[in-house]
Amino acid sequence: MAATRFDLSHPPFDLLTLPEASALSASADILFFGNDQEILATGSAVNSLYLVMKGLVREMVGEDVVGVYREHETFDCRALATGKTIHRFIAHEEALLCVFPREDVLALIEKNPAFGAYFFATVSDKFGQLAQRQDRREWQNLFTARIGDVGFRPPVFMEASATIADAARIMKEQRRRSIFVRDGERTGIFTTGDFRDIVANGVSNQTPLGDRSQFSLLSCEKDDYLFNALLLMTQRNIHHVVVTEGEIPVGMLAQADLLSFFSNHSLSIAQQLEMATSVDDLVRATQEMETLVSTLAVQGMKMPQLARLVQALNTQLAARLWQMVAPPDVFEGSALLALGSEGRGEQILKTDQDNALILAEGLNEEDVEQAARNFTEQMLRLGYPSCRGGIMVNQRLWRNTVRDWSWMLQDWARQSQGDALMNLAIFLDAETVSGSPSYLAACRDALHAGLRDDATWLSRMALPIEQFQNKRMEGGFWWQMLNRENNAQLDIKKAAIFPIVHGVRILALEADIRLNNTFDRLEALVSKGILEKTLANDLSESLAFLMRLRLEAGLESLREQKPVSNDIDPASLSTLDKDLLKDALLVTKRFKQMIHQRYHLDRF
Amino acid sequence: MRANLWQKSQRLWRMRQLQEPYRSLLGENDGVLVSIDCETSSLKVKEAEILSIAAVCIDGRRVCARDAFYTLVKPQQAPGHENVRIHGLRPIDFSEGLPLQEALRKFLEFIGGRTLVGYYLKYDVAVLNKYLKPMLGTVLPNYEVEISGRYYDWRFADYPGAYIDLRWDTIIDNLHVPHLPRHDAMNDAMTVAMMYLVLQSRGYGVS
Repeated sequence: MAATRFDLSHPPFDLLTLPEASALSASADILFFGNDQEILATGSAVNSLYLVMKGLVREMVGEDVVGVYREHETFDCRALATGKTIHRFIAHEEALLCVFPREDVLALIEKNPAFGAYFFATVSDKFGQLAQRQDRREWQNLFTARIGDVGFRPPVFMEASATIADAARIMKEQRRRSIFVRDGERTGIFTTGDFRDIVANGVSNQTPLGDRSQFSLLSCEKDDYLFNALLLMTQRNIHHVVVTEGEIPVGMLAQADLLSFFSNHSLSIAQQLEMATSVDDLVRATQEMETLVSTLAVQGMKMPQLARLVQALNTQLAARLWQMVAPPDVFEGSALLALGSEGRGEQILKTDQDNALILAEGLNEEDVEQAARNFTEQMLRLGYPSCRGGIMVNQRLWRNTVRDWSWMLQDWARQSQGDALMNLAIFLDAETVSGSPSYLAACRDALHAGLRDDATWLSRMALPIEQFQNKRMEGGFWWQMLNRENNAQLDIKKAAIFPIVHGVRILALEADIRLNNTFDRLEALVSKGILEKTLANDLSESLAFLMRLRLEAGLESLREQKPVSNDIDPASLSTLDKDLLKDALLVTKRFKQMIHQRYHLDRF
Repeated sequence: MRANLWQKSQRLWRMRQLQEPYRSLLGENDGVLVSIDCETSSLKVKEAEILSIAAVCIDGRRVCARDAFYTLVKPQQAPGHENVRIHGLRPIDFSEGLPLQEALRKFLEFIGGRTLVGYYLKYDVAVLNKYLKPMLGTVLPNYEVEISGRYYDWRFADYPGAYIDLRWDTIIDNLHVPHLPRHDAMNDAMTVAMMYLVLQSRGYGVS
């Protein structure tokens, strides 16, 4: 009989072979705990691995909940190695547990390396394992992507009575490889391929379009799977299918579109940006960027790399736009900066514009203001919402000469609290998008020269890391899950991304590391001996994982046409993701404690 | 639920009729309960042959699944096709089965004098007794706990006077016990044991 006694089809047991799973299943006992009964006490010897069959278990450190285990989830993986648990496990709701003897699990770990890796891997190894699993998703992508996911352009229609010459002209103007042909009730298509026959057969270019069009069309619904379109094209040996919504043709899917959807076409976007002559051209390119991001994300591209690719494209986009809207002297005499996450290169989906300008002396104030306003407006049109904090070039505060910036930055540093502190933090991540990098370097030098090198100042700078306290954040999140609140949400930016980014930023500031990217800063901190390598690795992997969670949630919101937020719905997470999220939150906590001690934050 | 006077005297009576070694074997009761289930070739006690026997101990809050008892029994006649469909046990599966007498002896060794738990336990015990009586000179003296009865009591306390559905799946769902992937004597005995743990924690065990 194929099935094991207990359901072992979930991670990590899905990594076992059937004989291994059967043997493990046969070695298990079952335990039952009523509400709030203690399963494992802190520091108690652990000689079993527990699998939740029914119910809900919470993991506690003191009075804080640090983990929640639901059906099919396993604890305490750490205790498996040490034989002792450092946390307390309590049945939150009547829990039936499958209990595997520790020595049996250890024996399996030795026999089955993949299974073993799940338990003994450090956090960053575990993330690596996740990445491996995601390879499988590239295939799924082909089977789950829908035709609507490919960004095809709205169709161009012509009357059947128009001539072939007209069609050629329109297709050239609109840069189309195919057009729709309307003939009374019928709809046909006419493609560039048809010209070959026209030329070969010596057909006059004054022939009505209808005579040379294909009216027996094959079509696919917009909601249909992309794979079906590919299949249809392969089966019938055709290069185009009509995409319909209801009965109405809404676009044309060419084989080339389909293939490019599955491959990296960031190069072509870069080219488009380069050749753009109007804001409309830029709008088109940004639309393709979104498709690119979701494709690459689904294909399992790593988050830091994806973010940098997006940063490169965004930089190019902003630079082109600034060139379009600014008069030549303003463009030449200014440096456009990307700030915050955009400057760090950690932004994947479009979020608030965070930008600023450094100006040469003697530019016409009115010209600059008009160009800056226009820039902000057009960015809005390109889909970058305005910054709620008003950190945008259209605000006077964020447009200054090198001299004024230097003065202001030093003033912010002196205040080092409230808005001034956050403004300074955002500026620390600035990156030049267009114009000479020497402007920014000059401002930085002035800032660093003016920095007070005393510990109190750095402590005040580090303080915001504590501003979202964990009782309300990750602790609260686990409690929500325990209460099975349907809308339990975790703001991962506040709970983890911000503490990591800001803590690393302050460490880098103290060590005078002039890099923007958090991953780069972490590396530099390790090589300077300021951070332990294991902690830095765990932080990098955690941050990358959190970025992926945020991206996936964001893409989901975009698909549902909802605004992108930082909230993660735990109900949508897989067991493994939830496990990794728990680990990431624990890493964040560890890091916060380290920062807390290093900068003596308890004195505030 | 403690054994009442009638149950006690019944057990005493049966114990007195037992010969050694069964008398001391079935006299031992360490407070552990045993959930049992048999699969049979028919639902009529008279016609039924035992195909397999499963038993698993319930010790406090633990179901001792690891040390459970399970055996296939060599039937005297090949089971009909009907039952192959019900149990998924094919004739070939019984080639490894024990002869009935040996299976029953091992079963008795496993359960000893412990209290038995089951779902429609009366039927299983009746079929077992059919074969045990010639061996023991009497029927099983063990106390019996009917899980659907315990469930009824618990449910009735919450919904007095209501009709209470005692179907297997209903009990599983209402007690939030997992549906085990397959249906055989072992898993059914284990499911009953889990039901017992839940009811016990709600004050409907043997106490």
